[in-house]
Amino acid sequence: MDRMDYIQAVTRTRVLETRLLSRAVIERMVDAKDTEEVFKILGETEYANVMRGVTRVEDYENILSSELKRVYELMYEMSKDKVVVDLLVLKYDYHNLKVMFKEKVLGTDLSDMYVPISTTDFQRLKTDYLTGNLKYLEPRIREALEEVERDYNENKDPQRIDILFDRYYFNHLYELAKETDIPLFIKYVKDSIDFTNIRTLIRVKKQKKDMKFLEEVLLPNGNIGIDELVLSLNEPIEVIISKYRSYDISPEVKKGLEIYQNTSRLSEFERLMDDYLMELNKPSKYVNFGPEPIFSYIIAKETEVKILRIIMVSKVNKLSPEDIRERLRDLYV
Amino acid sequence: MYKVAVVGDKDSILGFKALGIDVYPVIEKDEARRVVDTLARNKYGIIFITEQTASLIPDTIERYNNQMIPAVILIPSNQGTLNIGMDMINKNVEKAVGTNIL
Repeated sequence: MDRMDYIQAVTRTRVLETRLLSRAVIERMVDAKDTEEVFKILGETEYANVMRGVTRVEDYENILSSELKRVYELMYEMSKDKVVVDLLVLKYDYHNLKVMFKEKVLGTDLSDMYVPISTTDFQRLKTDYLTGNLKYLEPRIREALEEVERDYNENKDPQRIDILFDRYYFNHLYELAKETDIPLFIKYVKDSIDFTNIRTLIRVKKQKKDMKFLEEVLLPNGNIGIDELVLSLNEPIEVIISKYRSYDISPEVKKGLEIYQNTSRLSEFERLMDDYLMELNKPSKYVNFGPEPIFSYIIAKETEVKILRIIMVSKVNKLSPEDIRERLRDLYV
Repeated sequence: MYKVAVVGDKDSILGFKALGIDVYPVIEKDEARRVVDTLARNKYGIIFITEQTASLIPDTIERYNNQMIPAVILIPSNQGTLNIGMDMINKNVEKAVGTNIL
């Protein structure tokens, strides 16, 4: 990857960054008295373009998904190497694969569950898959599909569809990141894997499942070894906290798990994870030659959409501004 | 076999999907009425509806209360209860027993 290919793209990204919602705008939305007021504020921002045609506030989800779609299309256009954007789009591919497979098994139409963002022509992929024409599929996706199909025919366990696709997703993601050879991307993926694994550990522990199941759902390629995590299953939370204190993600893990101990809720852990991953991306603001700013801009945008969704859901369900604030994520700008 | 449905605002009812109950999110009055009427015609034996939504369409609810099938049952939404559902149960108990024993 030639860093000099990104001069133009970084310049454009810098302009786009100025249009990200500021803390002040978010605060105004949080304090808004109802959803209509949030909409009014949103109409003064970059979102005004995708708000046309949406009349009911309950349809905010349409606005958010059109905006994401717009951003991804723009980023594909701007990025010299497709893979920079692929890294973040891949999750939608695997989501769509899950939907596609379940659609086939159930024989029902789940077309409104598909995300209209994909690294390839998903419609084509679907046709190829349904007609048994696997030779044009991306090899890793093909392998995932074949394995899921084989496993489902053998076990008939729908949960395993998700488990297997998720594992293939993270493997695929890790390989993509490694191919780019950009330290930020690799670190982002590895740290995400660690966070996911620790969260999985806590969940499996809470559900009182056995080690074998845990081993099945943990993801490889993280900084923390799977063996170590499996052995933690029967240890109390305090031991887990002190056991994983020498990793980059440790401060967040410690804080998140301490809150989990008191509330038995993992939502705070997830918030800390998002904030950590955002923090990781902040140095991209000072990168002038390279793909990092594009990657980080997309993450900033995804976080923004997540924040807006939290605000809208909270407003529709009449939560107080304090409750909303507690759930918000850190911003890029 | 009769089916079970739940009608109301999306955030309150989506969880029912995990139980295998068909979920029908509605927002407006007309939408709610149309959905309930369609469900009643399509072999739904039990229709759970949130009190908030039911309060928008009292006539429709009343109409189905006078029929055997479907049973329209009011449940509280995530905004808490309006006590309409409990009042209805009390009324039915009174009708059946002659006095309110709850």
